[in-house]
Amino acid sequence: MDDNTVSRYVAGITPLSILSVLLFIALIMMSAATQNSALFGHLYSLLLVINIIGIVVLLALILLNLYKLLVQFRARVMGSRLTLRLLGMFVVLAVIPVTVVFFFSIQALNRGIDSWFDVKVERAMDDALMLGRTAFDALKQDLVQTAQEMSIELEDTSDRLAPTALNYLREKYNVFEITLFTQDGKILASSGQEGPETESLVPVRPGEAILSQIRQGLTYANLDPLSDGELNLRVVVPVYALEVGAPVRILQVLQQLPNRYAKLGESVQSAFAEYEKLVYLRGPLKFGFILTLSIVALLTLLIAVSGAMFAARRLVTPIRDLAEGTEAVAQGNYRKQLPIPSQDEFGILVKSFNEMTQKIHRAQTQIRQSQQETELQRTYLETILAHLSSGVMSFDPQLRVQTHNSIATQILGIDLQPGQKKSLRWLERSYPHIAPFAESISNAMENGQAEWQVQVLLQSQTTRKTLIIRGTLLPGTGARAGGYVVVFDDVTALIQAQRDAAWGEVARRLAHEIKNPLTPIQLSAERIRHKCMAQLEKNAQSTVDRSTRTIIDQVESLKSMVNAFSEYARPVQMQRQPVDLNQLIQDVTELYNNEPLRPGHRRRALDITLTLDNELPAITADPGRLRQVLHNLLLNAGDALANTNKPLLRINTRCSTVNGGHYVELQILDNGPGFADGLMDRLFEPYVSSKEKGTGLGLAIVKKIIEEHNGFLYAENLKQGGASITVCLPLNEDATLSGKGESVLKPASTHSMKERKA
Amino acid sequence: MLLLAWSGAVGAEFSITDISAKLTEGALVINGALELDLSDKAEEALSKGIPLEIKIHVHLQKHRNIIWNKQVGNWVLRHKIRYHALSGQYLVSGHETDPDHVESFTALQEALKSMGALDELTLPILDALAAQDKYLVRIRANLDIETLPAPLRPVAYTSPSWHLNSGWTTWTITQ
Repeated sequence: MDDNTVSRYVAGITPLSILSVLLFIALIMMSAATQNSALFGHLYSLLLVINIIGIVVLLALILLNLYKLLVQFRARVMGSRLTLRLLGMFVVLAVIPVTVVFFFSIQALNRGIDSWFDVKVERAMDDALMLGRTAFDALKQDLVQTAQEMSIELEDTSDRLAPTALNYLREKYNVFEITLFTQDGKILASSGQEGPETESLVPVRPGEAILSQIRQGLTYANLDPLSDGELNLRVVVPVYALEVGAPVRILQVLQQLPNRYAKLGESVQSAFAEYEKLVYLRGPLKFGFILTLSIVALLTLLIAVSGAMFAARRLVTPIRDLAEGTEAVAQGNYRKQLPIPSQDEFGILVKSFNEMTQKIHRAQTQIRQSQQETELQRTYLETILAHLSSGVMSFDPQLRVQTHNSIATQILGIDLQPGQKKSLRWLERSYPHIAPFAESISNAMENGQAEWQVQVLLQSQTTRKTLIIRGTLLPGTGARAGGYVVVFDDVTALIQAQRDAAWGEVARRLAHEIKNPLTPIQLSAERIRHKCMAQLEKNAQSTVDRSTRTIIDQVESLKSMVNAFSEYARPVQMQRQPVDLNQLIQDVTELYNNEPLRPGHRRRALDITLTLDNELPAITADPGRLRQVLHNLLLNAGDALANTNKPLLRINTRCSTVNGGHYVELQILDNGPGFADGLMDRLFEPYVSSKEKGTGLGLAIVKKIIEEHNGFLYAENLKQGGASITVCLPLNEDATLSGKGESVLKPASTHSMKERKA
Repeated sequence: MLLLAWSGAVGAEFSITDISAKLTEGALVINGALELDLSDKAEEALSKGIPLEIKIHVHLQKHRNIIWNKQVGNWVLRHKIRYHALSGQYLVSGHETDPDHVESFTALQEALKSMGALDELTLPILDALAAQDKYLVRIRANLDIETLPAPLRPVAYTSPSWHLNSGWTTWTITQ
């Protein structure tokens, strides 16, 4: 049985009503019993006990409810304070009238019962009794005299003749019954009106006290009440024997009172007895009535208190429910529905509350759904942004970074996470190489351009990137201005590919267009030389000789140039194999040892200093292509050092780590004039050269080969003068230094470096 | 035959001190006297016309050694006494053989003595009794408050003066 069921059985109105009705019925019966009602008289004690138990039960119920209410009050349960207040009010309203009625009723009851008794009536009753006794005393005296006369007459009558004598005497004196007893009370003879000496009618035997009294010579005379309510006069006298020594006998004479006397006597007796009883019971009767009245008052009071509790709780329940419901709504529980207590105003209020919460709940559900949809869309958008090949960043009107995708981080080469909610200026200060990017955005925003596109070049120490940035002004909300969303792409590779493709095409066409006429020109010049030289005079012969030689040399030069173009435009056919870069460098530099770098160069000493990392691991590469890289770089350096007094060339190798990737680094440094500032941006593009001679393809081919090996290179002018070109070739993790089996790369500075003059 | 064995009587005004009981063919015969002394309150009520009823409870039990005794028979005798003001006599009724018979006594003590006298009181036994078993008689006399007038009952129940009770007395019958 759960708490609610117990509570319903204990505190419900139905058990209270049933108990109240039963107790009132018991009270009515008890009230009737108090007045000696024949119907309920024998149930009086039981009814009293029932009522007292009922009161105790009611009291227990009230105390239990009161205790629960107090516990709730202490626990600050919603509604308990109001319930207690209402209960107090109801109890006061019930107690005062009941108490007033009770005290006035007690007084009225006392006065009413006292008024039943009167001294005069009491005296009259006593007088009536005395009168009755006096009247009967006269009759009694007559009968005593008659009995004594009979006794004298029986003195000489023997026991044997006694019955006859008794019959005679009974008829003579006209008495109802005469009986003669022995001294110890045995019947000797008897004569009665209904039939003397009959066995069916045994004479009434006098008691031992009477017999004793007679044996002492006294006379007994008194009224004898009979079981049927009649009154007999009984006289008992001794019958002395004439003979000496004969035992004394006892004569009992019974005389029925005259009918009129008997009725009057009985009437006086019963009235006196009733009055006496009433007088005696005055105190207990008052006590009984007061007890009944007290029980009535107490019962009324307790039922009123119970009813007050029920009423207070019933009144407060919907208010408490509403308060709890409101609190629940305030805490965000919009599903709260309250039970409708009734169809009255409370019911309307609760209905309205329920409708309100339903509406709020529906609205909340819609909002939640909208939020979920928004979240879904946001996730969808973020997924798209994360997988875009373009970098996306958004800024608020104050140019603070709001969002970015991972590609933006990759393209810009910076960690954007710390820059979240930071201004563009902060990014610019933190990462100076993105200054062109930041400037272009801030310029566009300052100009208030809604849609814009710009191409910028980001150059760091190691990389050079071309970005195309597109910006869009976001719509504002109300008076608030919207921010900007910026989408940018790294088009470096694209531009480079376009350039490479264009130059490849140029080289292919040049090779085709130029190479075709060169052989006829060369053949023609040789024929002129061969056929005409002998027929010409010496002066003319000399001229033709120089001219044809020049033609043939220039054609040869043109052929070299065309071959170079062909080489540049040639499709990649890599033959990769493990290459020891140090060894390769040593082989190539050996070729240039004590040899002019380029045909036609004046022979002069060129110091080539090699600083090679002995721990350098082998790389997977095409050794022929790398050899060409070294040739081109050495030739380029040789050209740069052509006009230098003390030309110095230095080649370094080492391991390096760039952006988490492991590389083998080759650096060629010279002490020449360095690169012209205007050429730095396009140094590795074809046909970009500051030299009078040369194809302009040397560094372009170097770059092409390095990129074919997934490496990179960069050129820079040295502060102390001269230039350097650094080539980085990727190193496989499983690459090992030949014969050493090492796979872990260490910084170059910790390695033993071998430096020698090449 | 009979054996007198008084096992102790308790009670304020009523007491049972002398009882002899014997078993005859189909009946329990008791002789003895109950001392019924009324309290002042009870005497006053009687003299004011309130009838008093005295109940005499008699239980016949078969004695059992291990478990409680088995009740073989029980009887309740009611004796009523009232005061007749006109004649000044106490009327006693409720004799076991003739309940309607009224006996009148001039003195209260005489009337009470008559009420308490058990002269060859013969109580019929319905069940057959085994001769070898041991039997006990338990007797108690008390004033029946429930027969008092209703207003007097709460007073009687709450006042010791009205609690006239001899308590149970046990008497052994040995055959």
